[in-house]
Amino acid sequence: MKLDQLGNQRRMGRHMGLPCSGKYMGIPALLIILFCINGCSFGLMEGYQKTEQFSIEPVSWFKTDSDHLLMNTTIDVMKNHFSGLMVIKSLTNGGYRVVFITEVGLKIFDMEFVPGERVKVYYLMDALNKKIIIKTLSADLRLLLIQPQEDEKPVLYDSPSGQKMARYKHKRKKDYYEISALTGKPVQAYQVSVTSKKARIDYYSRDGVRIDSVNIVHYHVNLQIGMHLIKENSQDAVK
Amino acid sequence: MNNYIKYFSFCFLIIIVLPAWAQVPATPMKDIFGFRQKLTTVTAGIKTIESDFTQEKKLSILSNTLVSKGNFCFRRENNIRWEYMQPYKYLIIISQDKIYIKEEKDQKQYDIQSNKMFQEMNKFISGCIQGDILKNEKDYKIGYFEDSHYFFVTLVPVSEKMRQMLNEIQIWFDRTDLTVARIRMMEPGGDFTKIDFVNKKLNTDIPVEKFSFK
Repeated sequence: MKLDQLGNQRRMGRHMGLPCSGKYMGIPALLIILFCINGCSFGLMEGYQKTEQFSIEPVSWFKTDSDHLLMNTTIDVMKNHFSGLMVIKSLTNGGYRVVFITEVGLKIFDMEFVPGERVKVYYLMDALNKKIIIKTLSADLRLLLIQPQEDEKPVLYDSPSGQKMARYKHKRKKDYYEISALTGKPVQAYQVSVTSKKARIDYYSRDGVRIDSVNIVHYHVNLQIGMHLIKENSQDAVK
Repeated sequence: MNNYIKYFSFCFLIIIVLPAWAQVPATPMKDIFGFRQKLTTVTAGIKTIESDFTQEKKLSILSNTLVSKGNFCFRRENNIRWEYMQPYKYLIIISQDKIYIKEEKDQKQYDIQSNKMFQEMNKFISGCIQGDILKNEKDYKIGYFEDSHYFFVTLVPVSEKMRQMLNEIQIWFDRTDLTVARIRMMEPGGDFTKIDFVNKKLNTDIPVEKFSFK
């Protein structure tokens, strides 16, 4: 089956006049690399056109009037399962403090995100204190909370069906947000590197005003994060 | 006028409540050997514990305290069940070498040996409940205090790594039956978790099924 597909692709290449063998073999590879470096979005932007017709910016679900949001959270990383409460507090400087604690109260991590600054790790449980985990977790949370570089304006895209997409750059990675045209709040977010899609976030909200739940999945790493909002006032969760 | 009443009521509450909340028994225990011996005898006779609990998490970044409530069961040997009812339902059973977690939509089972965090957590919690943790003078520097209601023990981890997570553990033992009334886990920076055990019942018949994974 795979051979057939490859054969078809080769045939298509010939049909389209692309050289597939011999001394020209390096050219398609070079084109692919150039295509990727110049902003390959791996199918995300199909049908979208760059636009300056609207100026709406992505608005974080976690920027609220309340002091903080409390999310019932599970993190499955490799063979480890962590569950507990994620406390997300928005800061006056546009950043967020994110603290994750187990049900029995032990702190798993405590991080601070400020636009344009590197993530500040106040605490990270020993079992998670690995460079790759810190990097992946902080990239996920940055994508979730929407933390562009300082004063960075998003590149905006429009589709014929009226869907809006915004893009921020983070070094060699790009954060894409499919946003609501009315509120600017994201429906989906993707993190894309030079070579592939890294992570996807699905945001769920029943009323379009307050976040209900979030699901973060990774394409190449065995890491999944699920979050559900806890309605504190109605359930006597605070004192 | 009404505002004045509210203001003075608030100040009155602060004056009354705050010292009670902040107070810990500070008088050094007179008979440490006697307390330890009595505790060993009492805990050896405890087959089961059933209790309600209120857990408070104080985070310096928040103006209010996070509160969880639920039911706790212990059955010798090594069977622990924490059932959280508020703010959401969550069940954790630690039985022998297995750990079982049931959330609203999901349930999972783990081998406790495969997860270092669960292993440490289990050792620590069962050690606190059974009082075994006081025998561990290798890992903790232990302080003994008392007042008219409680025997109060402080444990300061020797290991620097452990101190990064918890820099002091405080345990209140009820003077009347030597059961654990309160545990407070202090973190560097002042955050803490306090668990109060209330409506305790000792040696009641807790069916073994309560600790089985279904």
